[in-house]
Amino acid sequence: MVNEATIRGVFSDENFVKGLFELETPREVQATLRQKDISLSVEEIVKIRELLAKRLETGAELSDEELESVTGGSVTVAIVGLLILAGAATFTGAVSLGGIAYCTDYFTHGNW
Amino acid sequence: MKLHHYLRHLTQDKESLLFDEQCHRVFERLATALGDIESQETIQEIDLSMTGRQADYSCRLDKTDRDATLDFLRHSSLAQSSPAWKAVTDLCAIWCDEQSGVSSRVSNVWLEMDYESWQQGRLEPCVFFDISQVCPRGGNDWMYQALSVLLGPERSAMFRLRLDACIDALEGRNRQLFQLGVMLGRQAESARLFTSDMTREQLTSYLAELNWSGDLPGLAAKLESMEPFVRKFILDFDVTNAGISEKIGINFGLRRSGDATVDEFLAFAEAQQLCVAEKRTGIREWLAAAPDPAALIFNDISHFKLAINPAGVPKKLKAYLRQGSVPRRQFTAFARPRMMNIELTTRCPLHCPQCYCDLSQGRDIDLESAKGFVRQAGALQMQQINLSGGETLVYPHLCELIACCREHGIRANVALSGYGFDTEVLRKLRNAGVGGIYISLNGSTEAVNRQSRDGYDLAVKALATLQQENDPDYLINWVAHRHNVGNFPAMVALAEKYGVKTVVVMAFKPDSRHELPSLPSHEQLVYLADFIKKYPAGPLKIVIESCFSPLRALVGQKFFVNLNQGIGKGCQAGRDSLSVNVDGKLTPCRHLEIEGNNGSIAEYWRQSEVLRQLRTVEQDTRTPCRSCNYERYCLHCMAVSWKMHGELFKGNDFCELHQAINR
Repeated sequence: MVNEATIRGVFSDENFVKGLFELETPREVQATLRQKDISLSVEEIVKIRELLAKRLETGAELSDEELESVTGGSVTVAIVGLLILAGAATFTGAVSLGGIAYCTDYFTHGNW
Repeated sequence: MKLHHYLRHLTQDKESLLFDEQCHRVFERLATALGDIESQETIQEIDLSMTGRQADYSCRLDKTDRDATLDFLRHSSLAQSSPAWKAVTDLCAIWCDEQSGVSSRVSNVWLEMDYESWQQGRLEPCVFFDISQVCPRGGNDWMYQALSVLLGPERSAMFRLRLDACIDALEGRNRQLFQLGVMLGRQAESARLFTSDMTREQLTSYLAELNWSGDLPGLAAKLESMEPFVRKFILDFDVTNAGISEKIGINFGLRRSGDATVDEFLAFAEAQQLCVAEKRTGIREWLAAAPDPAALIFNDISHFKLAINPAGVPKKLKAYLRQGSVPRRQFTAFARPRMMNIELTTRCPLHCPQCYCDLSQGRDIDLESAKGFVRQAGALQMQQINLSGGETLVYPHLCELIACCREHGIRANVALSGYGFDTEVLRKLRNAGVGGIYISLNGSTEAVNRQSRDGYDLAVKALATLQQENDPDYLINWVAHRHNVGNFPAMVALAEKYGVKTVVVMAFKPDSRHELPSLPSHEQLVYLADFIKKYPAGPLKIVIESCFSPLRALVGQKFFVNLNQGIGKGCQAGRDSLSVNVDGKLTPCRHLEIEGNNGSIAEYWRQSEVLRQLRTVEQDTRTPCRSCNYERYCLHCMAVSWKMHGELFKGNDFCELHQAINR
């Protein structure tokens, strides 16, 4: 059983969070989390994406009921989900400049 | 980013409703004393309940910058100036020491400078460090190691029993801690503990367990009244060896993001007499301020705090105004343009099928007029100017204009076909101070290239010259067409062979006849996106210009989110850039020739109706874009709307991405 402090420790690594947001499939996410001893099923990871989509779409916090309905009461899923949401706040901010992958290039090219 | 950048940005608005002249002087004092500290985020704490325009100032020190911070503290006179700064320096030293428990567990430290003490010349900070990895009944020796540095070993040991009790009381609540602070600047004999976020019920039951002596039912009722706006709260309180303080702080963000929500909440606070009208207006102005493009500083609100007095009654409402190097909220334009294109000439010896320029009347921009725009751009701290044509090299004053850009601190890039280019021309361009040299090439072979561009041999010869001369900064502008997408891997191989630094993948814009005859198909866009995503990191980079928004949306699609968001996601016209045409008139973009007034760049940026409209396109997305899966992650080239449909507010009927999705 992974405790909350450990999960928070893993997610305090900004590069790790950025890396998660660069992944393209739930299996890649699953493998990456497993490397940090966080085991989630693909279904749980898809649910976390639902949480994120809901948050980003409405700009609203999730109620405990909504969180419960997605996580099915799993503490680990809830924590990882919330941390990914928290990471998204910063991450999508960086994305606002044109995406992490091409953020630095966005300013240099174009307008020809 | 260094603190002096944030502070300079903060003091630019002398008319601010939030900071008065004395406060500006304190900011200037801070810039002098602490300006070289690296920080990714700063906060100005203001009291919404009173009219005084003052702020406490905080900055976040990150783990990634901790060595630089320690170096700064050791080499400044601060560490010797007071026991408080010596304590901060010592804390930083154990944070940097890989052998200490603090090193791996603390991700950031905040310094807070109280307005009053700095105004009175007592330059001392309060310190808060991250304790998110503290565990109930976990020992947590590392936290006490840090606390001992700040408070001294005796007081740290004295508080330990109380702090442990507060931490252990979290057990079973599935809650964590956030920060531990010491008010060094206030000579306080206590430590301030911040929990992670809690519901109202969790917070009040926790306070009850800690035997808080305030009016708990009154507090619960107050928090309940805020629940339309707030769902979770972070509690802070002071811990002494006598127990926890009666005075507590309730910190919170709002349930929903958006400026309207903030204003609605402040209206509620105003009705509760917790916010004065001037501050509400000041907050609106703070949020509406466009980001500074030179330093990339962004405004928003970090959180609010209710200061609760011993009787459990809200005494003050505070707002924590954030300045950061990362935008946390959407914005549609910078305060000033970052980039400009100048059309130098409409003369060109080549005949490219895709050309969008009107080359029927060969003429050049007046040099003094062009220099005038460069001077204005310099005053606006613009970062780049792209010089293009026609054929850029036929402009007789090119080097003089490049030198003028350099003189004003602006990087000048040029786009060349290769016509008239040789070693001698390269030497002159470099001596003048040119930035990037962009060679136009659409295919790896003459046969592929000629379907959309002229001058294949000239372009390849130019690349060979640049490679031979070991030029440090040359790139290829490659425009995607239906006939050359399959050739892109070979094009990239050619770029690698000639030592090119970057291939810029560009969208085909309407040509001089206002036609778009050879747009890539949906399958080709997917193929291109896939190739770009899989292309390995190495000396050659492939980047997609913002105008090619559908392709960026495809490449940006990841599992959790689509990365193509925000100001960089698409059309930049009037958002971060503008253009000057050959007649010396301002236009939104090189491809959007809607001439503006003859005023200054700054006036045009602030007052142009066309630019205002361009910045609001997303508010009224039209079909077919409105029904597209990528709607939120794409902002198509407005030149398509303008040239093909004769209106700005039109969806992109020519988008293959949308058409494929809806087939």
